[in-house]
Amino acid sequence: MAVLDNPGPEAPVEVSHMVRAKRRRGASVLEVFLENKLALAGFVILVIIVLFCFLGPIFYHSNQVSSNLSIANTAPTKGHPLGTDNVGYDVMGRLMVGGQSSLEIGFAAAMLAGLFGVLWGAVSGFFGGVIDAIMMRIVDALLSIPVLFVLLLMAAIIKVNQLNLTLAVAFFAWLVPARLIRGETLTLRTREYIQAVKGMGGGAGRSIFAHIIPNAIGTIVVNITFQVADAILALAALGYLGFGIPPPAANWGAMLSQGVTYIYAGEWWLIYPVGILIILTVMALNFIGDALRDAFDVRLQGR
Amino acid sequence: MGQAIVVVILVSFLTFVLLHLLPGGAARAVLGVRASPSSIRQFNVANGYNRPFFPQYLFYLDRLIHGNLGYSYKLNEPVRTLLAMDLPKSAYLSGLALFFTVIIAIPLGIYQAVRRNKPDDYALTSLSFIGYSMPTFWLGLLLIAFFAVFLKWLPPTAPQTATVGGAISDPKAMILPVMTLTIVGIAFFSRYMRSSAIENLAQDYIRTARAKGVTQKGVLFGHMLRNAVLPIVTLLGLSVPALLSGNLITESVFNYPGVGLLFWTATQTRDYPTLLALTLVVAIFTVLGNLIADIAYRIVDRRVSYV
Repeated sequence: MAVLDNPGPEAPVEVSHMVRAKRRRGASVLEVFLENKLALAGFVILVIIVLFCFLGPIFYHSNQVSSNLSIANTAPTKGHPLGTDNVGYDVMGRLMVGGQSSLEIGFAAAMLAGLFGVLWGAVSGFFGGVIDAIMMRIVDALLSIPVLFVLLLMAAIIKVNQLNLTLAVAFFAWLVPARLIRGETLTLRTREYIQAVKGMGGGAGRSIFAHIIPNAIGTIVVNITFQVADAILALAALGYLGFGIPPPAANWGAMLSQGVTYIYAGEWWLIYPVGILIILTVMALNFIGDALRDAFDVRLQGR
Repeated sequence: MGQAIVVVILVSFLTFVLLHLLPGGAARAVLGVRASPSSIRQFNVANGYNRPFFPQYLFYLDRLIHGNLGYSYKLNEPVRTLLAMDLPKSAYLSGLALFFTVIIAIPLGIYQAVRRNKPDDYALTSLSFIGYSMPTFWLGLLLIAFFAVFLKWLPPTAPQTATVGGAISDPKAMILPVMTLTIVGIAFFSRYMRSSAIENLAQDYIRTARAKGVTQKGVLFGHMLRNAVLPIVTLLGLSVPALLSGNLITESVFNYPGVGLLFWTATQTRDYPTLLALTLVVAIFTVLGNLIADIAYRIVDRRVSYV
């Protein structure tokens, strides 16, 4: 009776209970993530690299616009802590500029691919039937085309610049998230809460945007992490095959492939700093992705 | 099966569209920018490019079905001949690499699973991550710098030969390219093997086997292996296109005359008929690889059926 007489505090308690449950889920994801030492290391490394690339140029000034052949290929000195490259750009400054472009292309392509892939997969999985069959066969067809082949083909046809590279990488990167989210949607759409949305007259848009996508967020985040790493590696491969960004723009892949032509001249500063940065970035992203997957995967917890 | 056919038809359509996206059309790509309008017209009529889009596509399909993959005007040979020459060499290189990858990665993954979260597992995990994160061309060039230039043990290039027999007769020159591909492959495969083995070791049937008094070796290889190897079967199926089309990067680093190098040379010379034909062929291999993986999956795991 007392409870009925005084329902006032009851409602807020209910709400705060739900909020707490939600927060606890977020906290447990964070907890599992932080427990993984490799992931923590990866996260710290990634933050340092991002700061180096984007804030570095504020403190470290170097001419990255015009070349200076009179100082080409000089070994590290006081003025150039990592030496200069084959046309006289300061390598340290170039690492920052190139890193900006590599990271920007990687993240932008992964985000774009994630966004499009999620929409495609969710729509395909939610509607099912003929729509699903058609949409997924398109994904299958694109997936079976060798990515590097088509990237090379595109590079031969279109002008290579940052925007085009991003779009080209994203064009193939959306396929995997589309498949993953479609699989997730197939199981989610039979859940009671989706049935409830339908029962209350909610449309497909509401089911997809308010329920299915938020529930699939773990899969999406994990996949985007791996996509960024793969994009950076794909850029390196493209750079090696001769389709990097033309100077004065730069990215790590183009720098490394340019540098390895001096592998026998003993000019290590053109190869190792940028190579190690690529490895560290890709590794850090993979560590983070792995840990996030474990963190979002409830089944693996407590093992 | 039916799905595979639909996908192949879609892929052929996509490559056909790509052919039409070429700046100036196929005629300009083949005859060059200075071609006269009359020779372009002649070329278009001869190849059926003056017809509407869909009849052209059907014409293209008809030629494909009869085994005509197009003609390389740069190398002055039918693409089919080029493929017949380079495909066995690519298959030999990638096949060797895949063989070593599998026989090393499976035991390695199982070992890591057994030693989970111990220092040696961490060390091996870190190593495999480095292998995975390293751009392949850099790995290849480092191996050349170390084994060929510094130690002078091995030749820096792959066998320079026109036939697969030539490649087989020069095993020393194959070591570095195979090593490059194998290192990358192990980094990739052992991760999957490790997590699959970990997942299986936590299952009830392993506990039952242990309770029966089966030895560690018996548990791992008699009970767990067949179940844990399933993801590797899928990965192997996905490796089929690489097996047949070669590895573009490794082949160009070591100048190994396989399909990958053929493709790369074709991008350099803008040999569009070759590029598109190879893209289509590799895509078909991919579809076949997926199909083979499905079938192999069923042979390894009798519980799976596709009825």
